[in-house]
Amino acid sequence: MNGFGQNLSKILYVVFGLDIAILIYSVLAGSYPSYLPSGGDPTSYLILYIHVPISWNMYVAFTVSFVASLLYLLKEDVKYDVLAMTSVVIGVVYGVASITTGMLWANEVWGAPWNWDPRQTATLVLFLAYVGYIALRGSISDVDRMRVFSATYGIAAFVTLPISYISAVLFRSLHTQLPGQPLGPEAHILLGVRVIVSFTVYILLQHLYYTKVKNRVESSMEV
Amino acid sequence: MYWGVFVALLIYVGALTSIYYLSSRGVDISGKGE
Repeated sequence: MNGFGQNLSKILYVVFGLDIAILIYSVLAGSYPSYLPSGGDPTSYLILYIHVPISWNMYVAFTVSFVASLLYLLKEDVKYDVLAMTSVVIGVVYGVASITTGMLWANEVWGAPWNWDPRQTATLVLFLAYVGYIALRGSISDVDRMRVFSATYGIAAFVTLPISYISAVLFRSLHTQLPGQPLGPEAHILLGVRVIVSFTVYILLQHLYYTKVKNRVESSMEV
Repeated sequence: MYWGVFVALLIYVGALTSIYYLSSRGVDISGKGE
């Protein structure tokens, strides 16, 4: 690993530790949102500090994948295919975490973990669409065809993202929708810090993953 | 305190650990082994 890579790993460990420390503080000592729209144990609303940053990172990762897929079809540069693939993998992992933490929250405040709520359902469709991306890549043996098909599918799959995002507004949904249901100043600041630090961890992990795969792909193409 | 908060915390740590594992090894999910 070169100097930059070692420095990146050190930064990642520091930011990761900071992220977890802020998260533990949020869970143990964080402010409750000023508006608690549903029933259940009020402490369940502390999942806000976990669920929201994860969900934003998922949305960003899939958006990066969409842009990278578009750029691959336009420029046919392998690095964009690598960026799209790594973004989808990271987005899918965040997707698992987003859906499961949302289910834990829903279990307490909505009375059941799964309610076929528009936001839950639309996010599940989004998640499955990108699981399909991974399955597609594994099913095509020719590497060049795999890249073109994956990029095309990556662009088409992106249509599920805005549907997931606006589903809580468009349809009658149990899901809270900011800014219509304000958090209060303290919770707002803490959530903002969580989102920024969690996003920084995502950026570092994305860079690490992209660099590792890109270097390997480029070295295999030179042989 | 609602137990689900702690489970959600573990899920988050698990997700980051999984992504770090995939990233640090550069796992190619298409299985082409490029």
